[in-house]
Amino acid sequence: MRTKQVASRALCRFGRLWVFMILTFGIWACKNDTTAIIGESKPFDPTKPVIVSDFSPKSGGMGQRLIIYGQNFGNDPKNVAVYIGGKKAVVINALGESLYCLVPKQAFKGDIEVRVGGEDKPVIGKAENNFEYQRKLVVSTLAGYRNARGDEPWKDGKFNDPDQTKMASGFWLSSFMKFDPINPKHLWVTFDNNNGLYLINFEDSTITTRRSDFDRPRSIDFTLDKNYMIVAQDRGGENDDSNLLFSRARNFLDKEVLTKSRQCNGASVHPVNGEMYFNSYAKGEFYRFDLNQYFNGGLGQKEYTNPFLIQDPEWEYRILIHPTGNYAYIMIVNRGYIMRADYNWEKKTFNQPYLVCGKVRGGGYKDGVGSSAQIDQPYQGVFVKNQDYVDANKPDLYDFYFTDLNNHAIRKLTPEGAVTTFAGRGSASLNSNPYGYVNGDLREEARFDRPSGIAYSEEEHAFYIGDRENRRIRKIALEEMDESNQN
Amino acid sequence: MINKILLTCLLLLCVSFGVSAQDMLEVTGAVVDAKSTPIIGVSISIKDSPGLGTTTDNKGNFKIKVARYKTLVFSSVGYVKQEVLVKDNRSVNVTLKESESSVLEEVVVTGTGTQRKLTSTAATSSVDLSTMTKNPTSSISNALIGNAPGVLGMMQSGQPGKNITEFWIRGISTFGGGASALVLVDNIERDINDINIEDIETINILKDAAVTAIYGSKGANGVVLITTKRGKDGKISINFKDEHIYNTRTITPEFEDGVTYANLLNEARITRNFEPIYQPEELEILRLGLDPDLYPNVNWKDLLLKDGAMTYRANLNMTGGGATARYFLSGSYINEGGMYKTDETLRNDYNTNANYKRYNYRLNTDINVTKSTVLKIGVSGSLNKRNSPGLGDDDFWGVLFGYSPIRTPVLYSNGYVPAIGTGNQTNPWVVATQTGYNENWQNKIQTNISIEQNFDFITKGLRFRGIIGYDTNNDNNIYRRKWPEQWRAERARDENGNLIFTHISDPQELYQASSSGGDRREFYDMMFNYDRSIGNHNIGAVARFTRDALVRTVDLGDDIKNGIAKRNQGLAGRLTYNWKSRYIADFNFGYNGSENFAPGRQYGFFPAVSAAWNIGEEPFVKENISWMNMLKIRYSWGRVGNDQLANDVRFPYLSTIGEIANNGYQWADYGFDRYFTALRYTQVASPNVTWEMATKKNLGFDVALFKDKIIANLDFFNEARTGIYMARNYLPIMVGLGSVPSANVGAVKSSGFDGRLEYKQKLGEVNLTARSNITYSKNEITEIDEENNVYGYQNQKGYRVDQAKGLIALGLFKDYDDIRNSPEQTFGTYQPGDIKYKDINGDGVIDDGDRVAIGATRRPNLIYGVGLSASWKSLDFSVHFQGAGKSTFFTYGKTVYAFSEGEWGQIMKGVMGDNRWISADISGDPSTEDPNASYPRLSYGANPNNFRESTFWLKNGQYIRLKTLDIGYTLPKALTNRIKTNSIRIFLTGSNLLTWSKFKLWDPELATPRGEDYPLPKSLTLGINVNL
Repeated sequence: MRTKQVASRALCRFGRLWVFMILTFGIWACKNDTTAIIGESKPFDPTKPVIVSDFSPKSGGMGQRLIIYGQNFGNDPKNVAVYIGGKKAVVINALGESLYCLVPKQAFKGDIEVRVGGEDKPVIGKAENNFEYQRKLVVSTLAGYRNARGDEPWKDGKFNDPDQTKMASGFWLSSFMKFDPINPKHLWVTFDNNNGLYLINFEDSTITTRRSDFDRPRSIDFTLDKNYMIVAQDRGGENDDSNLLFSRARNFLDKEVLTKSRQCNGASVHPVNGEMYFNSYAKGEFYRFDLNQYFNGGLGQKEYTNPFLIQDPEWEYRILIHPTGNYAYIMIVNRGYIMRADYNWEKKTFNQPYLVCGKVRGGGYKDGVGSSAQIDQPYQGVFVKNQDYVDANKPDLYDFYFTDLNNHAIRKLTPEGAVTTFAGRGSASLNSNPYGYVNGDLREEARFDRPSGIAYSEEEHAFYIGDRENRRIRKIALEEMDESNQN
Repeated sequence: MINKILLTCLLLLCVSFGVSAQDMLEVTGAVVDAKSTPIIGVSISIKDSPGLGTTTDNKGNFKIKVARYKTLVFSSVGYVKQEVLVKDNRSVNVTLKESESSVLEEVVVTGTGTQRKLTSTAATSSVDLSTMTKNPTSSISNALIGNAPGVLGMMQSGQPGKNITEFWIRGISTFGGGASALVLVDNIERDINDINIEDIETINILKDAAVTAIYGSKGANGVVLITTKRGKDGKISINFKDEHIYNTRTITPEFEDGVTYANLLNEARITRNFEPIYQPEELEILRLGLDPDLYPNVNWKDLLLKDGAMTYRANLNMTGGGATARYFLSGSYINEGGMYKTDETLRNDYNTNANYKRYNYRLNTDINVTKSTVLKIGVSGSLNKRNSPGLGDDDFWGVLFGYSPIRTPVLYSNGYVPAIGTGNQTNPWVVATQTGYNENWQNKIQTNISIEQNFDFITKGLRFRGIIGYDTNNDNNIYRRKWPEQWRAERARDENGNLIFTHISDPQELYQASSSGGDRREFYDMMFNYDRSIGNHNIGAVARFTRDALVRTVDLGDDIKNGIAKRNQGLAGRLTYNWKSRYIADFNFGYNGSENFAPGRQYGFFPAVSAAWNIGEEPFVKENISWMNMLKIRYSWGRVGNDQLANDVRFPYLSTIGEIANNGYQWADYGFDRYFTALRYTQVASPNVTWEMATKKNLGFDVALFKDKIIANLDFFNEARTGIYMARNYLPIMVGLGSVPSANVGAVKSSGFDGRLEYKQKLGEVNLTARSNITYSKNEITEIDEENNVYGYQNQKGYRVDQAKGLIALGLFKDYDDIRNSPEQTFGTYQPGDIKYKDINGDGVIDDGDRVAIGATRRPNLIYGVGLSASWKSLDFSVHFQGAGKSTFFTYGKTVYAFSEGEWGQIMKGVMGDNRWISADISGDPSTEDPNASYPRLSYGANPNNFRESTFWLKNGQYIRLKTLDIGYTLPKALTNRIKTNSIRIFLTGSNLLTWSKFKLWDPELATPRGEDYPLPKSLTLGINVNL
């Protein structure tokens, strides 16, 4: 029995040893697991002055990241207000001796003021030197938003509102845009695969649905007398409605079927003679429909002619006619090139087209002249008068600006056939993608993500762009001088 | 702690105690040593009465009740055991002699039984167990390197449960199949990494053919023979060991911080004519920390890795018994803590840390069935569990090395979880803690029953041993995974200063999956031993028959081959003769079969002959050179096989017939279906394939001088490996084979030496022992199936197995003139500051034809260890250094080749050395355009000119480290005796405390070229060893 006693007594001793062990090792076991700490700084002291000693960089435009150095900025960005040129800047962060804000738009004067301590009794510090504010052409956002999950609905609403639910949204399909020839404050938009006709109304800054009975609307144009709107539909059957006519008199709420054909990618009206041209994707047919005859005596829904074919079957293209009516650009959407068809004023139709820029099936991105340039899905374009050409007394006064959908850019085609990139693909340092959502300088910063529809307001000298994947309507214009126009 | 007490109780309960009340006599007495000093704590037990006993007190006195005609056994560590028969004497005084061990008495364990070291003709080395037990990891393989001559190896990883060492006996001699040694635990092939170190009695490394020939087709890579402890008769002896180990890491890679990273990134872009990624004001925002959402600066390493982790190890074993039965019983537990930090909020739910736990038990029982028959039963088992984060350990390290400090914050300020992309390009904190966890557990049960019969009654010296047994093993993986919803913020804010998010991945709720594997091994082993001395003639003979089958039992799939056991059987024998232990001759053979080869080619004969001359036993030496205790010269020659095939191929002699897709014929008339696809040999048979054959030669010297003060062994070896199994990739096309057959065509020769030197000295009361060992091995491919190359230096033949090959870097290009005046480099564009290579073949062009052998191999070809131990009274101290040499390796990967994967990849501190090449346009200083700079011109993205195997990226893997430092204190006997214990030792052990190496980025032993692996541990152990 003795051995048993020995054993159990030994156990007690083990117990005591354990206490010793645990005490010794407890210290090691209690390791703290604190994670990385971001720089902390002193809170704002209202008894001390706010000093602005310097800022960086010294110049820039709207949205420029600006760092302001000084003292006593506190550590709560909500408590800090920065005014540049009298405009309030967005303050991202403040850390005692430095703060980070974004230069507001229209900060033309460039004087910098830092107010710390709330609206009522702020302590103000001012910079000795002014920020050199640069006014320039910029990309901005007119309307729409995309939430992080990307599940916002198609909705009518205002361009912009603090309450997102009151904002217009949707726009995630390829669009086509056309200004109303009578009211330059009305911009009409359709979206492929969306059944609506949308009106962007600059008078009251809203976007509303005017019709919702389409099946794949692809283009909008107006008749020569500006009294009728024509919307082309892209449908599969030979006897499906391809072009529809709505009258201004009835507020575009009526409907007349102009033509029946299959797979129409768009229709345009000749700006001088008034006949309508449209196409078919099926075999690349180029169709002419004499609207004048339609209005003066009538023309059957299938009584269109086919002067020529473009290349091969399954050729998606649009016909966009020069304002003088001298020629049309044929934008081959799905094959990445643009052709030109000259107008035959005698026969009142277009001649066989020829290549202007890009290569057949040669989708890519390259600025250049003629076939050395590469484009990828030119989607819509507008002719814009160039004052330089007017001054130089050139025969053709218009540049052609078009959305290059897969290149996420707005490209420019001169009458001589040179293709350059007008806007987009900026912020090279952000990441290696050419797409994204960035506003600001056209080439330095701005990014688009599959821009599709484009329209030009001669009144404002501004472009409007349906930026598909960003789900927004973007705008390109010289920065405003005042705040009368919010956008 | 509770489970540890429970464990103790359980083990104690297992032992039953019995006392018989007989005619009792109280015996008193004293125990003294030769100098009449009383010995404290001498264990006194009654023979054949297990459990009864006492110990001497502080004055060496004892008192015990004992029946008449019983024998008292006096034993104490360091003294020779003494037995006294009790008749009527009530007083027994005993003088114990100090035990002296002599080399001449030492034995060596081999496959044919134990043998006196004196008469052994073979090259074997036994591992010093006292150093082994100081190893702080769960696997004993980690303690082999630098501890035993003849073993080369390197540790694979520092991760608990994966921290094992891959080792090769006398290096690598093959490039075909496996090069790993055969490990036998109690004569059965078993895993070395699952054994509890405290259970081991001996470890012997069998190196030459004289001892490995009997293993026939499995012995060519050497054999590790492990025997476990068995019960000893006498009073129960309980041994308890408890260790707390604090682990840190030898070298943890450090990374550059965000500001440095961003500047280097910009430099890499600008210097290659790209626009910079960060604008000056962005760098400023980053430096000031003004926007932690878009310009974070995260130290992922500190966020993910703890400074250290604890390992706990406890071991309890007891042994005892009597003449009729003896037992050895042990249980152990190890809990190795991982280095990963865990998420506090999830800590109660599950553990994502890389922890490893293992329970081991062993019960070895020996029963004397009759006077000449012993039945031995051994049962042991282990259960281990290992945890890892949901995405796995590899991704953990891959992401940690990949995700730059400025990529994203840990969490966005609105609580969104960031990621750059999907899969493993996600944020490291998510990989480490938010993706669930995996559990791997393995369970092994090993059983062997052996019977030993002494046939002395038939003829003297004849013995028989038979073993049967089986092992089962199962391996289970349980994956419990989930995924958070993830976002990426564009590095630009909208006009209102808000972040713009892109949705990267949807959340995945916790789900589970599992997989498992398992196998079973059955074996028989029968052996007859015959030893007889007739006058001065000593003869011995052994005959042994073995059979073993290993079969996969779980997850067999649909391939029938998977379910067929891998079987081997063989007959082995040995004949020895020596005359007065002076002249020794030995013949060994194995006749082995493996079912993996074609009938008729399954059996092979593996002979070995060896001889030794014990000069030390010669009378003229004994008489004239008294300080020479032992001098032996031995030589062996033999042939051994290796049947491990590359890719674990089964039945290479069988062909496989398969369908040719989309190639058939419709034989039927129209309207009927008789379509047959064509068939072909998808794998042609290789009917003549068999094992590779090693011809081994060994010349050895064993010396013991000055009463064993100096002991030395030195072995020179030479091996020719022929018939290495390999695919015949270069048969002419006109042979017309659609698939590649295999054959035994390769050959490798290797040679080297290993040895050890031990020196013992007593200085006053200080006992000093110095030990050292060294192993060097060099191999050369003498035959390999390869295409003949225009340049001989490009052949593999004539070089080491896995020889590093690459270009020779001459520095960096100085300027464009230098480029124009140098041979053209064809790998890609290059500029001043890029690597310039040597035109080896002089053809004016640098291409792959200029690759030559550079350096050695990744595996070290030289391993050595030096140790010193000292003891003074109750203090003991030991130190052990270990080193490796002749090792070179290429480094590459995203952290070595800076920005080679764009922004994916951190920049390791020190990777660029002292001075990198910087264009004067950037630095403003022409002196930074240094053609001898330690790092070439930075680049962004792929740079095939710089980032390729060359001497520029070749690193020297040699190192020497303070492997073990151990200080122990044994409590005075007087004290331990008072609390009824035999001995208590408290010890502090440091492991891998210091490492000296030319390569400093990560541990030079870690077998990764990218550094992306769990670093090796550096640890400090505090432990106690109690013997009752």
